[in-house]
Formats: sequence, C-alpha cells, structure tokens
Amino acid sequence: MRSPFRPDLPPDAAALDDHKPLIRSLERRGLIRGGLSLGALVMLTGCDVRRPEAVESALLAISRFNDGVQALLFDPNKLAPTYPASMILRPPKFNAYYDVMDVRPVNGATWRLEVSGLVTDKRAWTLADLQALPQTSMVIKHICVEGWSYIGGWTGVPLRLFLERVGADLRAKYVAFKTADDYPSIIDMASALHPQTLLALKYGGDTLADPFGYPMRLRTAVKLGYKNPKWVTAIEVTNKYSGGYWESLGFPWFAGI
Amino acid sequence: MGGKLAHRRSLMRVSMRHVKTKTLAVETPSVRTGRRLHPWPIRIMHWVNAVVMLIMITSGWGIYDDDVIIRGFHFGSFWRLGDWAAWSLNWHFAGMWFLVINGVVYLAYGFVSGRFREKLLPIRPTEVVQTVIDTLHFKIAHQDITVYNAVQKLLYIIVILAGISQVITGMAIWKPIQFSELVWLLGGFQTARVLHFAGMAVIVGFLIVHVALALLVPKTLWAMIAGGPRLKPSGHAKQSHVA
Repeated sequence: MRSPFRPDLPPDAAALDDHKPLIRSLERRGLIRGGLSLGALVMLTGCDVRRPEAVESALLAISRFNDGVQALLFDPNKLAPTYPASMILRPPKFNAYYDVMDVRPVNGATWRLEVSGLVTDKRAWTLADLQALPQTSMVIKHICVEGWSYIGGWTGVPLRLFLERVGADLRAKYVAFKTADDYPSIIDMASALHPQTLLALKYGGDTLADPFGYPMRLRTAVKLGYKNPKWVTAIEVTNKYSGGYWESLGFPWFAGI
Repeated sequence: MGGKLAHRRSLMRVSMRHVKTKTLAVETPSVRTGRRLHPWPIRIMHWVNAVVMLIMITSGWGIYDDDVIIRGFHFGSFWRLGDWAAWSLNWHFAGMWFLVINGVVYLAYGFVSGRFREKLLPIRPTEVVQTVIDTLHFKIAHQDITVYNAVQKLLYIIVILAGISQVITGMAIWKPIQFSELVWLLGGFQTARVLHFAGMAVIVGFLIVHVALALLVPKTLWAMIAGGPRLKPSGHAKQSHVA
C-alpha cells in the first residue's frame, strides 16, 4: 500500500513556484472529497469485517487511556534536541493526505488568521502582523508516525507568545486549528505553550514554500508530524475537543513524542 | 480442624496410590505435592506472553509497512494485524501494556523464585558446542524435559534479553523527545528503529525454533499446559515420573 503520508517523489519548490498559476487552477481531483466520504462511511457503519466493533471500541478506549498517560509523561520543560543549521534538509519532505501536485497554494496577501474561543482579542491577523512579532528559530527533527524523520529549520512566532498577545485563557484545555486544506487539528495546552511550538513562517531562513504551508503552519517539536497542520487559517482556544483529520480515522489524539 | 482433615485425606490418597504403584514407603507427602516443572504462574505468564507477542509482532509488521527499513521488503496483509496503519498502531499501543506488565512480573518471579538460576545457569561453552554437534547428528536428548541443555539455556536467555531490548527500544521510538537521552544512547532515532526491528527478528527466529521443537516433543507442550512432572527438591524430575 502506498503511504498516505508521503508521495513517492520529493517536490521541487522552484518548479512549484513556476507553475503556481497552473496549480491554482487545478482541482484537487476529488481526493479530499473521496477521502472524507470514505471516512464518513467508516464512521457510519462503525465497523468492517476485519475490525469488529467491540475490538475497535476496546482499542480506542486504550488509545484514549494512552493519551492520558502521554499527557502525564509530557515534561513542559524538556527541550527536543536541536541540530546545526548545516543539517537542515532542503527542501523538506512533503507530507499530506494528498499528493504534492494537489497542493492548493494560499495567497499570502489576502490570507487572514482568525482567532476565536477563550481569548480577549478576536481580531484577525495578517501575515505582516505575524512578521512584526518577535521571531524564534529552531532546527529540530520531524518524526512521522510511519517511522521516517528528517531535520528541518523553522522560524516563526512562538505559539505561547501569540496566545499571550491575544489574551488567551492559558488554563484552557486545547488549542484547535483550521486550515486551508481541510485538515483540522487540535493539541493540548501544555504542548501549545512549549518553547519549541511555533507558528512557523520560514523554513531554512526562507519564506515557507507553498507545499509546506505558506504563509503559516504549526511546527511543534514535541508531537508527531501529523499534529503539525499547514496553511493554518484559524486558531481557537477551547475546552471542547474537536478532533483532527487522522484522529477521526483512528490515529491517537495526543501523539506526543 | 479442616486443615488436619485435608492433611489426613492427602495422606490416604498418597498411601492408596503407593499400594497401587508398588513404590511403597519411598515417597513422603511433601514430595507428592512437590512443585511441578512449570508452576501455574509460569504457565499463565507463558501463554499471556505468547498471545501478546503475536499481537506485538503482527501489528508491528503493519506499522513497518508504511515506511520500510529494508527496501522492497513488505509484510502481506495476511501477516498484519490491523487493516491499516492506524489500527496496527492501536493494537501495538494496547498490546504494549500487557507485554510490559506480564514481562515485569515474569522477570520478578524468575529472579525471586530462583527459577532463572536453576533452569538457565550455568551455561558452559563446551556444552553448547557439544549440544550443537549432537543436534546436527539428530541426537536430540529430550528424555528429561526438566533439564534444559546448554543451547536451550542460551536461547531462552537471548529471547528474554531480546524482549527487554524491545521494550527499551520501543520506549525510545515511542517518546524520542521525552526519552531523548535514551535515544542518544541507542545511537539516534533511526538506529533505535532498526534495533527495534532487529529485536523482532530475533524473537521471531526464536519462535520458529521454539514452536518447531515443542511440536517435535509434544510432552513439552503438554507440560506448559498441565505443569509437567513434579520436581525433587534439587529441581530435577523424580525418577519415577520420567518416561
């Protein structure tokens, strides 16, 4: 089976820039639609031949228990190992639930970041607003749930700083994300406040390329790759669990590393 | 009062049995009730481990297939537990608790009861060589299943160490940031992954030999179900019970 997380070929960012208008005009080949309806079907029927409902719910119950254990194991002061800038992989590995050719670039000039939930300041942010905030850089390992990994260099606004700026209730349970590619994600507040959790704007010193989340994506060193939504369009501080793309298909929610 | 009665009853049973088998006055009640080759905790832990190991191995193959370590080497869907990666992962992360809890109790029992020392030590290199030579000549001694030969001892020690190693490398690739020092000791995340895969290969290799030999000498299989022959205080089987 071909990996759903990784296409066969790494993308060439330059080529994508050249073909931006063409890519923009492409439809996403119904893959998202197909994927979503498949997911919905699985959820509707609740089981299939190889996965009896009782076994499935037992496994999910243990998975939720494991989420709790993972939260207990999480040390908010423990930093992920960092690496020299010379080890940054260029371009980074592309991963999504669709092929790199199906990436739908986002226009940075009209892009807005909406903020909602338990915050005092709900005004939308522009890219320039985010760029004006203090920036942090980190060279960290990206680890995919599948097992592959690479070293990447990310620059952006620490999520903690952003949450403080918008007057977020830092005692809330979750920070939830919506993206331009319909890839909802939600992380626990402790991980959101970790110093190596960024609203990333740059990779390897350059503005993020389209396939990697331009203009802004989440990048956290303390979670598996699938907890790093790209093309983020909305952030919500909440006490209500809202689920994520892979989580709704059975993957664990916490996914801490 | 009840205890006394039970004692008398057991004495009666023993003496009746002695009359029947004409081994009068050789055995005492304490020997009659002597522990078996595989006491019940060992049997329970063995079969729990057998099931959990199969879950861990086959779900691990399901996780492996999404990003293979050996190029071109995949496990077919028949061999994988979980119909795709998410469910293989959920099986793996559920099985791990049973593996670790069962394994820790087993290790504690093995050390505290003296079973490890009694069954697995000492191993003499010359005995290992001799056993290998004998085996190659199809001379497999299995008259007394209560005594392990040097190769058996070695294999059991290797598979116990491999099991421990799987838990350590597994923790490293489960939580490479929280246990980053462990990952560093193991030589990095990808190395830890390869070690986890290699540990699986060792255990599967053991499993093939172990199951094949158990089927060749079925009384060993039965012993792991029913407990096997009773042991003399020295730890070896009483002569009268060995076929």
